[in-house]
Amino acid sequence: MQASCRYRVPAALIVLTAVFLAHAIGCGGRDDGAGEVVLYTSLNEPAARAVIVAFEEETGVRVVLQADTERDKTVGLVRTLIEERNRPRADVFWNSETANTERLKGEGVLERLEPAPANAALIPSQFNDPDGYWFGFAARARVLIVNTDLVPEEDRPTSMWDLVDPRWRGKGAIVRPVTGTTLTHIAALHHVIGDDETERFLAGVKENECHLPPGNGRLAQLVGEGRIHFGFTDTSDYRLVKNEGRPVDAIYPDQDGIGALVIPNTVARIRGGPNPENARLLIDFLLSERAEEILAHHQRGHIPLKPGVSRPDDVLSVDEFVAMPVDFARIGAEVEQRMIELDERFQ
Amino acid sequence: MKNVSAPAGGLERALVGVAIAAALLGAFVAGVWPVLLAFSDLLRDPGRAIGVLLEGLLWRRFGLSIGIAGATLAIALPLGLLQGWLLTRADLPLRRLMLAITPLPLFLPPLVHALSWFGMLRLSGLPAIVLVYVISFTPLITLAAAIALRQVGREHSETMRLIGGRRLVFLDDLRQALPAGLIGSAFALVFLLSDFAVADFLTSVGAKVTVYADALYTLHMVGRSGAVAGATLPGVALCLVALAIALRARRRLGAAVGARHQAAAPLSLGAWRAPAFLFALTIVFAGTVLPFGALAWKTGSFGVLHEQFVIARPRIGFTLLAGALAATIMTALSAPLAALTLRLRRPWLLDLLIALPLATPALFYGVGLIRAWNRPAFDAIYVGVGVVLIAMVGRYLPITLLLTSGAAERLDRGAFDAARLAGAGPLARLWRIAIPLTMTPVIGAWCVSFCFTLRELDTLIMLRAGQSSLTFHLYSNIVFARSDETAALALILSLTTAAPLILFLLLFRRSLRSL
Amino acid sequence: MPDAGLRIESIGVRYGAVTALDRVSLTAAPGEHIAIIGPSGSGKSTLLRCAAGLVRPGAGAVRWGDEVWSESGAGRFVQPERRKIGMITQSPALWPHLSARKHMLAVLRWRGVRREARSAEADRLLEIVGITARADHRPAQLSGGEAQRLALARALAGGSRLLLLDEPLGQLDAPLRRSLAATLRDVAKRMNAATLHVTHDPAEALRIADRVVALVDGRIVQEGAPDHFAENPESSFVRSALGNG
Repeated sequence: MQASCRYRVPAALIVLTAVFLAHAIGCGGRDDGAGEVVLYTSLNEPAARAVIVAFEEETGVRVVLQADTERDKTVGLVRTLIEERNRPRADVFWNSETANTERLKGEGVLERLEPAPANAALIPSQFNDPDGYWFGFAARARVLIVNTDLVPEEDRPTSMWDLVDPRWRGKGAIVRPVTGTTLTHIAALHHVIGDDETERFLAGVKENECHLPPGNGRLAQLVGEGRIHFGFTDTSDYRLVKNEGRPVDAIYPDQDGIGALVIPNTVARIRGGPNPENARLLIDFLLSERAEEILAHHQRGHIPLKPGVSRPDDVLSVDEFVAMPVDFARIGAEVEQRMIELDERFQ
Repeated sequence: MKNVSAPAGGLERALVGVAIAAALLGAFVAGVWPVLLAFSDLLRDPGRAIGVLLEGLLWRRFGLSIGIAGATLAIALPLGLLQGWLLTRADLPLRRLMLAITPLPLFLPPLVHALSWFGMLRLSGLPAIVLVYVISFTPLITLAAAIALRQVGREHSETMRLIGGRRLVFLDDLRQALPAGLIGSAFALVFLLSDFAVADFLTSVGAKVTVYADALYTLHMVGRSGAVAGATLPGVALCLVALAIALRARRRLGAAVGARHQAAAPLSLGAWRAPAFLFALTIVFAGTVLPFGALAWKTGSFGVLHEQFVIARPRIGFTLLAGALAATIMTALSAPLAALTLRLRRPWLLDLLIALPLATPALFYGVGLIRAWNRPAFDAIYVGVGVVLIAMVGRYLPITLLLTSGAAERLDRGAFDAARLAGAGPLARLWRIAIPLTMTPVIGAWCVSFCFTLRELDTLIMLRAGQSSLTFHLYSNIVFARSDETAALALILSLTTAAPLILFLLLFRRSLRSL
Repeated sequence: MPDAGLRIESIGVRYGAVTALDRVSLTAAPGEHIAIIGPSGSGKSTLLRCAAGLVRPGAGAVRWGDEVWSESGAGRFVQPERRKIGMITQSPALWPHLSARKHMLAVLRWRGVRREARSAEADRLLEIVGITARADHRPAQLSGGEAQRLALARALAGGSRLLLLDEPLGQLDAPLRRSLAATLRDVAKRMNAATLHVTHDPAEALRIADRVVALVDGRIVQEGAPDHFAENPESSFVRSALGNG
């Protein structure tokens, strides 16, 4: 080896280390006086970014974000919050559904907000935790996404029971119901239609050879590609596929019966978080009309829960369809048991 | 009476001792300690830990994962060995080029393979799962076999040819490459067992396949930590056995370092040359050209690539620097550990301890990492890049150690003893003999470690600073659906991985060739 | 004060159940060339490695003059790099990344030779062994004979007082062996280095050595001047090796 070469490696490494440390220190040092707030969110980072930017502009408080990926199913984030319970690092948890928030409440990770945020009062009470630990906003509805090329208008499914109708054998889909909004959906059915009917529905899903994609986004994509005729997904995922120009339509199911399930985003303060005051500011902002408006106009098109919030034409308000009456706190408390049962059933 | 090295004495020896102690401490703190803390749930909640191990469902899923791994390796091992042989020992056209692009599929997470051309061809179900893994992991075996086959000496090969012709040469070469192939297989098994996304994605349509890693995720979600720890045990045990065997066989991974070695000439395949070339080309095409071609096609335009590059640029810097720094720390730690391995009569215990964090599922290791480092004294480390580096080092040190200690074991003892007798102390021997002689495998170890740090996701997702990584960014954009942005990001991740490696090779081309 | 020179005193080495050396004693004065012969596995190489410090004897002592290099009972041991000895083995064990001159410069530095004197000393040593023209070549570019010459120059560099030769000429052809054997002997004599020279070739041993030692099963079975050795073989090995049997 040449002598000059011998010194290149250590020299390169020293420069590399110096640059990296300078970079790392530089990243941590930005603070304009209003402080920061640490937000853990189950949304993926691009989806949460628009709201965060608006919050930062309005308050000057810097948001330190720890987000999630779709693949990870919020498991890493929730486990992190539980493991950090004794020395919390997060201030606020923003969850895209209710079940994991309720679970964290049960684990003692969340703190009751007293007094309740003023903005929460304008949101229908069924979307807030009656114990005051978490609050709902910007919802998604569970809809049937249908491929309009494969399913003529007159044959369109209108009910969850179409999934188990033999005429749709092997053509329908529902996400394997052990995570996310689908798990909450099944847990809700136990309350709304009773254990026996839910059992009949689940047995039918298996018997009718429903496909079980790994997530609602994937399900919507498969329907858009015409590999599946129809299936349950969230309005946000339907909208992404629709905006790609795929031949899909959304049907709010059971409008003459139990209605469509509406699942809000939820926000809660972490017990013992390092920036409690800024946490409250962020929670207030997330529950504000402005946040709901931003999320409604976002490509995922969240449904505002407050009256009078501006929204695009294709985003319905909760008054424009029949919504399923549910008690999210009660569902959340049972969700772990439901998950175990469903994991065994859909192995 | 025994044949052992002399006891330490003098300042240099003390320094060597301190370096070894520091490396051991580093390996323990980054790797073993978090794993032990995560497994402490076994003691806290033994009832659930035992309970979950008595459940048939867990074992069925474990069996299914082993079945998938077995099927994958049953295909990937012969394919990889054959491909490794063809690209190093046969007179195929373009064999050097094909070997050079063989590692490329390793730069992509298996899920990205599934997302690329599999999505286009609508392949699904168990055969598709196995196929994705075969494509993802065959290069690991091919490369390991290729490295080992460089060891075949000219005289040995010529003797074999005289005794039994080309057939015997081929069989004898395969015998020599098999241990290296098994090392590659062991690592493939570890990565395969911890992945659930491929199976989940590829059974979106049709019969659902739920694997062992998925079961562990569900247990995490249910939130019974004792059950998680219990259910983790079978996988950890299996991976530990595989890794321990791989580490034991490390000496077989290459030629003696520093010894005079004349490589055997490539074998003329005669009439087999054309079909063999087609075979090799097919493997390279399926593993490299097809996925990267599909990603490029999906990206569509340079504009999309550029746009994503601009968005991802800060993360590219972070990822490159964190990966390079972690790889450097791993390489530095592995040198004293390799020296210690050589001194130990039974190094398997050390091997097992260092392999433990890699054998442990990433999410579970992340739990231990939080328990270990989320303390007042470690504030700066926990919320900063420190814990990211610790995570990368803790997880991937076994891979670096495998390669560096393998090189150390293969170091020509004669050359080393000659330096000793010539008056060189431990540091002089290290600086003037060991480092220059093992430079190629050590640079190789650095490169491989660097690649693996870039693929890490499950641990980093639990750490704040880990969110700045490019892999995290890529997965943030994957909503289990393809898009041009996702494809562009996957390409950027591959280029990010490849760029420093190419730079390294260009910088050290001359010195690498001379060794 | 004891005389300078190597004194091996009743050393023993065992590898598990196998006895490699059994109470072997041997002396070598400065400038003296001792040939060691014996069948394969008789412990010749182990004896050399004990003298070098690469193997630590389980019993006995190794001394140089009044320096104790190794003494099993007292637990004393001098590291090989501090003994100032040179060793050449059948494979020259050169450093593939260094040219011939850099080999010499490295050793001279390790042996504490002043920087300004190193270059001239390196050239002198390369000239002694006759490879000055190949000074800038790396081992891979040298022939077998040149490689062994370089190994010899390396072994002598920095004033080695003891030269250990473990069949260094085994792989060379006969004329080259003869000429290199003579070079080895002459250079060692000129430097006043004691030499232990293990060889398979009894004729070579008788030709170049001042004294010949026969080692069988880890024990010295005969020792003496070449003339006496050839005329009075005391074991079946020596008889058959010298063609008297």
